Amino acid sequence: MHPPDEELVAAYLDRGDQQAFRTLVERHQERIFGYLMGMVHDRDLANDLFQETFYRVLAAMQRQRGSYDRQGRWLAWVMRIARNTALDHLRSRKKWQDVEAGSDEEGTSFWERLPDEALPADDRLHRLEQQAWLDEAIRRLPPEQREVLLLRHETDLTFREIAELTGVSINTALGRMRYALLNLRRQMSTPSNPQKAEA
Amino acid sequence: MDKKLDILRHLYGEVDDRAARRALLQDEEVAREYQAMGEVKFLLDHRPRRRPDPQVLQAILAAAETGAPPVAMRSADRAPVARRASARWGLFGMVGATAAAAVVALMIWWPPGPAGPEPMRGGAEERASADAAVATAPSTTPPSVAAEAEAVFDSAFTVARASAAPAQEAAVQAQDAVVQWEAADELLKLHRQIETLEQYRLGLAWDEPLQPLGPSGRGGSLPGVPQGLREASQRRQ
Repeated sequence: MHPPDEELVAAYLDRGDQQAFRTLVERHQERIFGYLMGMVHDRDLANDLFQETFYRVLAAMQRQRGSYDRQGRWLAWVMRIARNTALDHLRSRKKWQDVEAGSDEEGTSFWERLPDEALPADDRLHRLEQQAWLDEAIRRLPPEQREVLLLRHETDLTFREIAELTGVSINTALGRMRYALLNLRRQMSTPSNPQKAEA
Repeated sequence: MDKKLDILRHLYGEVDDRAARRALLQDEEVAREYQAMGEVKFLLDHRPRRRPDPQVLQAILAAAETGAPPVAMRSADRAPVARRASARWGLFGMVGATAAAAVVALMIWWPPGPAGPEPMRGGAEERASADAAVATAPSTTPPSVAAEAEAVFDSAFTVARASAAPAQEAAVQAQDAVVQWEAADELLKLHRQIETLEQYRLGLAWDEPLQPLGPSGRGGSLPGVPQGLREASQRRQ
């Protein structure tokens, strides 16, 4: 019915089956693009990064640079490239700061980093639809929390895969996700949330 | 593993052990957090998926077909839909601002009578009154003036809508071509109805303890009913 990723990868690499590669891209485009959009919040830029990601993917698959060793997890491999592409961009813009090892193991540093006051009372925000509001709320999350949330929700990676991809322990990945959800929940309770405002 | 982290794996279906989940939920604090996180997860699960521009896909597939080293093509070269859409909104803004000034001048020169157009209120109501006003215009005004007024009003409506909707919303609409077809009122209504039905469906959990119907004495809220469902119901009332 739906051939698995590895079968499509093999068809493309071994037989030059273009349709197989198209199917792969179309199958995963939303996952990869959703993650990139969440990371950079700019559609044009996300398009650029998406394109750059697949150029790197193609180069690696064609063994021009790097290699794809067919580990059976094509999406996780592509997501690693997408993440590197996004981080290269964010670092060049100084919008990404790696977390010191262990700083969030205790589970308090992210709370401390968040501003205590409610969201700014911006009239425009009251008129936002729920999705636009949610996008904004996600954007406000600390980068490490936002990334785990995007990887889990947009890309559907498991927490173990996320931990491997981001180079942290699974407890750290889970902890970041927990704080991301609780922070969003807290933002839902603020008057700036259109749902709350209407209630 | 910490209970509060473990319950997260249950929430996301990465652990299929109902007995373990029930045991974890015996802890009131964990249960409270589980519900709070579940409400947010529900919203996140229902976010619309976004896709890259078709030109981007075509460029990637072309590179895959040729097998040649891909040449990076940035958005500036690609002239994506989103960029053109942004420019279009910018143009709307300029045209709208001019039209708004024209409306003000028109109203000063020709104040509306009792049968004239009502002040703009916004949303569908505004559109309905605008339609009514435009429909009655030919009977009281010369055709050329009416047509001009209609054009001016349309432009003014664009301005009003643009100012009423936040810039971010406009950006989302302009940038996400996939969402545009969903903007029709009927489709949005249908989408919300489906969401409501799903909320009802998700509110049912076979392994949850039975709860009596009726207000529980805690502000009329029903235990076991997700907050999102209650808020959705309130919004519809």
